[in-house]
Amino acid sequence: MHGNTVLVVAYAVIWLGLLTYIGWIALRMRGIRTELDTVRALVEERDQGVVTPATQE
Amino acid sequence: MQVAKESPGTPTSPPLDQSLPRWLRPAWRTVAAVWRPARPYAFAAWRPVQRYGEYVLAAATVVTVLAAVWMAFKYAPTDALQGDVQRIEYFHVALAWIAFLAFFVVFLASVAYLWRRDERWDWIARAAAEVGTVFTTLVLITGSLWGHIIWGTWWAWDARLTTTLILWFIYVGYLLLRSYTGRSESGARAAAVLGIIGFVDVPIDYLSVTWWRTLHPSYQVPLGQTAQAPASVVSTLLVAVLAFTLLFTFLMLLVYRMQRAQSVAQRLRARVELE
Repeated sequence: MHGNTVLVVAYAVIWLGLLTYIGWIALRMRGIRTELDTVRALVEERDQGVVTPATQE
Repeated sequence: MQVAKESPGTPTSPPLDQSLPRWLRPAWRTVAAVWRPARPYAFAAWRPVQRYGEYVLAAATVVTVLAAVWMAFKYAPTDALQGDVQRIEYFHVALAWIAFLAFFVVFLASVAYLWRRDERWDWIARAAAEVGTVFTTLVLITGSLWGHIIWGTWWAWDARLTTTLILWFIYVGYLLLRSYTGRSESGARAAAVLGIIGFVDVPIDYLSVTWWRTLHPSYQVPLGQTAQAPASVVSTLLVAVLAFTLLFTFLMLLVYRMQRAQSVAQRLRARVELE
């Protein structure tokens, strides 16, 4: 490989590597957001299912 | 138990600003407030920092990275012996420095976690180990590419290269351990011990070029001595180090927040499912 080609490959590896890593962080953040939405749905479901004394009257 | 009360007339040691001339007192109070603030972390809780800090950090990172790339390709001179391929060094060296910094953060946060048992230190250690491993991977790849042209080989079992590879294995092991043990306290404790022991390799890696005869170049800017390289080369390297320090801080912040959100989500889910 020629010196200039190696230079371009090295810089491409650095920036593509970092961008891929940032993309992976974003994907994991989306997963956590989904997890939090699931928990919120569970809480709402539980709250709707609870029969309080006020509703019995 | 009686507490001795200070009477108004009791001569106590007067504050330093009282003994200064009246016109010097405001300046002294400002210096004293900066030197020994009442709440050292008040800056982080300041509303504008909370609201805009992340954007300012991201913008500063992008500007500094662009400046570093411009300096590496346009400002710094072409090396007489190595040619353009030497320009890899600006980012390779900066990445290596930040990898060492990341593992120093892992070490400090691990010690703090074992001492205080506060899970926030564990999140910091985990975030620093993850970002540090990414940076070390890039150091190994860029070093290998540079070595292919300059040494004529992709890899040599040289002291610097070998200790860096060992460092990479240690922190990959650290991340695997975190992955297998989950978010348990025993897992965090074991990882903290590994984070402390693993850091031993960092000074060995740093000093390997002076301890052993190696293929790897030694420092261009020895600490405490005058730089042997031209000023344009040193300033480019310093800007690249600054750029990667900002990038490291930004990534650490992202990963730390992710760790916190993940812990909160898992804890909430467990509580909801139990009730």
